[in-house]
Amino acid sequence: MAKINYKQISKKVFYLILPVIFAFLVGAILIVVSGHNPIEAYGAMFRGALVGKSALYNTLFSSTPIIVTGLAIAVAFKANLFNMGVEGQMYLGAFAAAYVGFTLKGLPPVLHVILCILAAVVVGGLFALIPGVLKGRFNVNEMVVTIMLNYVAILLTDYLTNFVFYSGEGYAATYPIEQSAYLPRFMKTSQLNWAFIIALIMACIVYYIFKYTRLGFEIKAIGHNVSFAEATGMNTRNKAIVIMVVSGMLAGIAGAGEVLGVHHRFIAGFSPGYGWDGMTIALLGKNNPIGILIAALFFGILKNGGSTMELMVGVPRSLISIIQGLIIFFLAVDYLNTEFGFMSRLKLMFRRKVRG
Amino acid sequence: MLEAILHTSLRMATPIVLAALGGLFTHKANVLNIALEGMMLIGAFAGVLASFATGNIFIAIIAAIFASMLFALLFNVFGITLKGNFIITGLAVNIFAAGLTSFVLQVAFGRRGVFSDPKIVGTTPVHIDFLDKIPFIGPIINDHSPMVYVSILIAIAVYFVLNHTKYGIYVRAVGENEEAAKAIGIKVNRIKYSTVYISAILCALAGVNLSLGNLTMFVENMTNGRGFIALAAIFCGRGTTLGTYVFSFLFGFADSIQLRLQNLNIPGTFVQMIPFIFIVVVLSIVGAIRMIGNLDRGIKDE
Amino acid sequence: MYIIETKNLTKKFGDFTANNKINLQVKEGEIHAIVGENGAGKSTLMNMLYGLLQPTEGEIYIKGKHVSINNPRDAINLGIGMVHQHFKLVPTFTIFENILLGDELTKGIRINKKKEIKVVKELIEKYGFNINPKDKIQNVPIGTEQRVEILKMLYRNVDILILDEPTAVLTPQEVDELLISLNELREAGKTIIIITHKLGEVKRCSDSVTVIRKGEIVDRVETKDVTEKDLAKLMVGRDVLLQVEKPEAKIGDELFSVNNLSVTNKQKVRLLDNVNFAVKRGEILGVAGVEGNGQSQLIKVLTGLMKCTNGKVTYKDKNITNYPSEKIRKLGIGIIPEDRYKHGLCRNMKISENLMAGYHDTDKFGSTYHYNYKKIRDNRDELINDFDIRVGSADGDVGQLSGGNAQKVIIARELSMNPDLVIASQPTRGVDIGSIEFIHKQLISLRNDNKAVLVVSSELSEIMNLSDRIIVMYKGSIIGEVNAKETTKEELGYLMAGITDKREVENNG
Repeated sequence: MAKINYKQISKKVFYLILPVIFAFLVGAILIVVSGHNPIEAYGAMFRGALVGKSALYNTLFSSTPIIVTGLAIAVAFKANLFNMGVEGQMYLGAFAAAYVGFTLKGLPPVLHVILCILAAVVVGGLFALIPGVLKGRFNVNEMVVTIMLNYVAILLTDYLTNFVFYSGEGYAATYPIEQSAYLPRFMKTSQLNWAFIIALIMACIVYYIFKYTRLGFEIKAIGHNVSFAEATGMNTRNKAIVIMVVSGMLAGIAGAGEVLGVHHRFIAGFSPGYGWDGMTIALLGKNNPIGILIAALFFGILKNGGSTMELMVGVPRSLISIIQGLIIFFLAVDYLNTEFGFMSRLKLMFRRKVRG
Repeated sequence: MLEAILHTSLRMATPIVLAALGGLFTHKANVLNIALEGMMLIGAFAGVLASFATGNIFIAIIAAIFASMLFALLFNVFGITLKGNFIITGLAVNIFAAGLTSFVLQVAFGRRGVFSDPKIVGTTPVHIDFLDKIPFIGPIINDHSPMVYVSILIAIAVYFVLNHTKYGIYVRAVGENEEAAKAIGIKVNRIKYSTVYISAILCALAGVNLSLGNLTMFVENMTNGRGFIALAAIFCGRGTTLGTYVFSFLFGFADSIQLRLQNLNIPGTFVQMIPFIFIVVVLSIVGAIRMIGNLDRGIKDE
Repeated sequence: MYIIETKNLTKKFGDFTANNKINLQVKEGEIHAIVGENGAGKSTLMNMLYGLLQPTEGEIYIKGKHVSINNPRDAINLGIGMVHQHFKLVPTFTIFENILLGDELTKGIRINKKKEIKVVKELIEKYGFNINPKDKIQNVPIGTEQRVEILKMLYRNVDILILDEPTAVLTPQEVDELLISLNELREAGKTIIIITHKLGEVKRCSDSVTVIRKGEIVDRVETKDVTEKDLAKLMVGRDVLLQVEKPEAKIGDELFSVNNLSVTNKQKVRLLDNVNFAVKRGEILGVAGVEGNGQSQLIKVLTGLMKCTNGKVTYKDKNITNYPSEKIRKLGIGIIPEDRYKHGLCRNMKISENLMAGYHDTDKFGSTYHYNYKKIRDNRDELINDFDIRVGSADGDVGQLSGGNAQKVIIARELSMNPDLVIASQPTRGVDIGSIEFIHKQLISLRNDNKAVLVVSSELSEIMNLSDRIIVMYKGSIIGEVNAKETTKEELGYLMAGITDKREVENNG
């Protein structure tokens, strides 16, 4: 049994929280500039997210889709594959789930749900196959391709929703899904539903893959040193494809969760950027499922509390995006691995400026 | 009809050309600049705000450049000085820009989504008389917003700087063999910063072209992926000035086709997919062609 | 007076002290050698003289004056030039662009390319080199690259020229030429410092020697007063066995053969040209040759990193042409790659994980759907023990190991799978002497055990020590084959230079 080095762990945790603290500080400055009290604002945010049973459940509810998109991105990012297309893969997966949800009738509930999720997984995975194959066979940069495909996915589902499967109910949505395809809620006071449980299960699966399977080992190696991975027989071309597909499948599940558990139909533009949130979460969680759960919870607090903050104090919700961007900035610096540590680096920079 | 399409292509290509040329500098210095999108957006926004406040287009351009350079500074500090991961830092700039523009719009103007006002001053199309005499090419190049002509001049300037000046040599040396540059005393980080600033300036111009050239308003996320399309142009163009320009124009062409198709009775959302699909196809073809005769196994980092 | 003198020069990287209180003294107009094992701290010291690193403590005096060298510009201004072991040239730039990098000649903003070419041509003629300034570096042989590096410094009128392992990429004849050039430069008044671990060359060309061991100066001697053996002992601190014992070879069946292997790249260059050879059980076949003559490509093809455009590879009568590396390992072929940190190890992963890689899809570590961490750890502990891998913490990353121990990790991993054939490329490059001895012993014991070993090395003494038969590569093909016991360094030298008929040389010489 390895000894648990508390000093090292607390050091790591500190450096993980540091970006968040910095981001909140800058956020506070912005709040002041906008004419509000940061303590009041942050207070309202945390209260709105955590105080009271339904607040707590709603926070878990807010974190559900981003747990799964976070996992989707982590699987790819850990291998240094920049799948920016999780948003688009989620949209298509969601649509597929909705389609199976409103097309198949008369099925027992559990079977229907499973079929919907399967459809989402397949479609999400297939859509991610495109950038995967392009990268694996033609070395095409997956970042640009996936971003382009995001627009394609969103526009396509927009079109399908408004012109092909239009519900006619006056807003951009498809026909509602059958009752048998619903992911049931846990209680009347909150939208928290079984999608949350599915998200937790996905986290466990990804954890297992990373730790105990060959694929996980290879993802790690490819992420650290792709030449080494290829030279030790990991066939990085094929793995690029596999990893992208797995990432897309998870993105599809995120979409299915939204359709089956929340909206019960496909709504055009339903995602306020869950894919991008997933990115921040994967980065904060260092591509580790446990870290992702914690980060997603934290973001659930931000989102849930964000609307309270806007309602109660008047600070616009877009502040949350700003804080998000800032967290990523500060996260981009790997404080632990810079030559002789972040603090001494600052000292060195200062010393050099003085010496001239 | 071809003339009209090409005219629109030149117009739609301009922001991409500007951003791509800026990104080309960073590409040559081996800095992956994902933040083109964010810098363009903040440039567009700052330009509109300044134009609204002063009614002066030149001040608007300066304001756009200033805002863009601030973001470039952030990218430089976190991405280069502190040795952060370029992709993550670039992403952060984009998310931050999108959030900030939204935030300021709401806090300062109480609006969401679109900022339009009669006080905002845009550019007016320029008509060059002698161009009327040149057949075919003349009308295509004529009657454009001044930024279009600026973009052509900049393309020529970029070619000259990269290939015939000391600075260009240093940028390329840093990009190809950083150790070689260091060994001769070239300040590598300084060169990298400078390329990011150059891309910021050009992205600011691209942003102003978007918000004050064709329209006179700011729409949230109006860059709509152009920063990444610019990157695609750089990749396809193999990092040459001419290649970058040609592919940027090509992508502008796809955009103009999409606009034309919207006039027929095909739904907008369907047609708007075309340029994006086109870009993916072009990237695939270029990638496939480069793979011919490739003997190495394994994926390579771009 | 000393042209270079350092007082208590120290360089620390965090907790690690690379140079400790160095008092270097170099006289003007001499050729001074700095020797030491790999990792002793020679390059660090020179990098401080050239401004690429800043000292943690201590002072540098050039021509008697206390100076502060903050970057290569300062060094050049002080008259110090450096030719690095790994060339610092820009591949797509021409020779003249590389020589004038940082000091371009301009007319206003525009670079005056015509003038640059003229100036460089004059420089080339002055020193009698034979190169075309308009050639691009990526198209030029390694020997020429080195000349360009030297010209870069001479153009800037340096008085002191530092060369870091200059002969690593040269044939014995080219080494002779280089040493002659260095003598001529010394006659012209330049001071030369050469860093090397090749003691034979030290004896041949230097006036005095500084020996560095573990970051400290052990001694400073006049070359005429010491022998190679003395220097080796000073370098390592004990008596060194310069050659490993090898019993008679007991050659068995043919195990592995390569027929008409060719690789033509996109630019239509023949990187490998009809290579033919075979390896039998119980023998070590050495592949000699100056780096850059196709050895890297040969190894890459044989280890599955590159595809060939023509030819056949056979192992145990099975056609394994263009097999990828996972299939090659499964056949019982062990791979020790040329670039250990690129292809052999992952610095950020644990030692236990590195010891698995390449065989992580076998059932040795549990099933591929459920790894057994106890088996993984036991394997690591066993191999650390059997192969004498010196680790700080067994649970640590490979990045913390020294070059020699990192190489032992690769060797442990491959050899523990009981391969019948081992393909090793540059197996002891950048490795300390103790580990070199160990690795050589391992390879020889494989051969004694009726296995086959294919070794590629540009270190001639290593090839001659280990091999039973030696083939020499030149410009992508095999130019000759000799029996290791009967051949000489001179004979191999001629072959490495592309000369197949010695009598031709003797008649013309």
